[in-house]
Amino acid sequence: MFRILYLEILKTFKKWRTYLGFLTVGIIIPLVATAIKLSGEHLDKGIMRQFQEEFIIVGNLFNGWFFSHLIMNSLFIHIPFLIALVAGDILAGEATAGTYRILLTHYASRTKILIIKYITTLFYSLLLILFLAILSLVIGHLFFSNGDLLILGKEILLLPQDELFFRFILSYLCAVVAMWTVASLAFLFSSFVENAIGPIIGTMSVLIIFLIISEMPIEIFENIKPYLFTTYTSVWMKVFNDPIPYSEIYNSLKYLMLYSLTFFTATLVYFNRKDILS
Amino acid sequence: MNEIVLETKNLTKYYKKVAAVYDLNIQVFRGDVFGFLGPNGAGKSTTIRMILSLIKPTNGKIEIFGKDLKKHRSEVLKRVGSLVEKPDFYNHLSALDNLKFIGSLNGNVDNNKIKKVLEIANLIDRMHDKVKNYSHGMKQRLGIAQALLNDPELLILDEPTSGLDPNGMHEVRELIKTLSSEFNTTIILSSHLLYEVEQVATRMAIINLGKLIVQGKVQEILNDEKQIIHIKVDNLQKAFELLKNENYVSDIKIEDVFIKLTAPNNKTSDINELLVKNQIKVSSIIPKRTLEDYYLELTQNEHPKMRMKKNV
Repeated sequence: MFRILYLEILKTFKKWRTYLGFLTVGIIIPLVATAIKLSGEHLDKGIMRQFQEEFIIVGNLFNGWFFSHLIMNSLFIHIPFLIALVAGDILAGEATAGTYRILLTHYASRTKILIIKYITTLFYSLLLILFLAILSLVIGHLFFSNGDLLILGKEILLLPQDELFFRFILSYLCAVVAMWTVASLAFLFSSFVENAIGPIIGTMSVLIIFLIISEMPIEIFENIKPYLFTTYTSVWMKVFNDPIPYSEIYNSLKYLMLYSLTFFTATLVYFNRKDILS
Repeated sequence: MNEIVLETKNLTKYYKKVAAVYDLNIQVFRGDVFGFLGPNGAGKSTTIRMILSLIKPTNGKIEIFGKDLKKHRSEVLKRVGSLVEKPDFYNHLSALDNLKFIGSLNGNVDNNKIKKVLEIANLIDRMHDKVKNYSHGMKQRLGIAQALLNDPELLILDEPTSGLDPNGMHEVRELIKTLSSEFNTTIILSSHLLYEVEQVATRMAIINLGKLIVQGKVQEILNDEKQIIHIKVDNLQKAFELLKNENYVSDIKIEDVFIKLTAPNNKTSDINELLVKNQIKVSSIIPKRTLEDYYLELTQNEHPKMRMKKNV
């Protein structure tokens, strides 16, 4: 089991598509940081202008933590796309390449192969989020130094810098669980078809539709909101509330894991009955 | 009695309402090189895919090594090697990495074994090259190599010489003969190349429109009842007049320098005796029934509309 898993991970990470996500994150973060830095104080003042009349701002609020928090907004659409790019290909890619015929005619059962591929998908998602976290925090601090974190939401919060390391770790861990749910959905779609484009578009379509429904203040949508997984994927944001709502976070994580398990079980049931015609 | 290695019992597969394979009963015995023949769309690939558990049968059962495939899939497939249709691999990996991965699917296959099968496939010098740089023939040979990784007792090869040059085809045929004679490997060989099957197969089955038409020992099938005979003599007209009056001769005609006729396969010596007694010099008497003749005779008369359909 572990040898197949090791070789499956190696196989996945020898594909250029796998590095597309890392490459994108690796380019975007330094690029954004450089652009902000080059803009000098204009951007800093632009963002803070609305508060300067009512608050006395002491210290550097546009700091590394603020930058990393800003980058985390990519967890709504951009990072899910990069995850779907690999998760949507992990099964459909075998069909496209015709390698199902080799993969599924040996001793290893379909269930075992599916578990190995699922773990590989989760591992990739974990690495991408880790990369996003490390790069945004390191680059943020290199470019913009340290300070307290200003949270601009329904209310304005200023979180002291000595709490921030813990909050960011917790937040990124929540993001990992949220992205695992997105990966599980792409993985399910990937088992249906013989081309990776379908699962990628399918996953993004579901995500965008659900996010729109979640944001619309319409009664009928309010009723179905608790049943949409996207209601819980923004769990990482809750970590920046004060105090941290542990109970809400726990519930969101519980639902996200339940959704992931449901998507995986559906894949398992479907894939074990699927006729391989490719 | 010979041990049955593979048996299908009333094996049926419907796609929607059309039967791709219908009520198929074939037996493959230990040590057989079993030729599996049929025109395109006959159901060969569907049958092979069912045998390898890629496709679920609608009805019927497959037993391999006396065990129900459905209940003992992993146990059974551990002893089977296969190459299904065209050889597709992970193109971004080397041949060595591909075989390491495939080996891991069968438990652990050590590196020595991997190198041994690469030597058999004549790919040892190119084992570090990415498969995307391989020619079709090299991929085909790699396909055979991966099928041998687990020292299979039953080897299923679907069009194994497709895309190979004449030397490559000869090598594969020799390999099949060696595996069968030296290692007693049972081989199922699905092929469009009738000549190839005729050369290496000991038993065969022909299917068409999803149904079994015939199965048995190749020599017995080809020598069955009547055969076409080509006769070369010094006096064609006299021989023709003489033979056309024999009641066991049919479809007699003169074609170029030959007399062609159909007669029971035990009458060849009688024909020779008759001609010689009548002072006709016989240069050659050649029974001409080839597998191709037989195959065409069996498969040409069936129309796709005759394919079985599910009753609604």
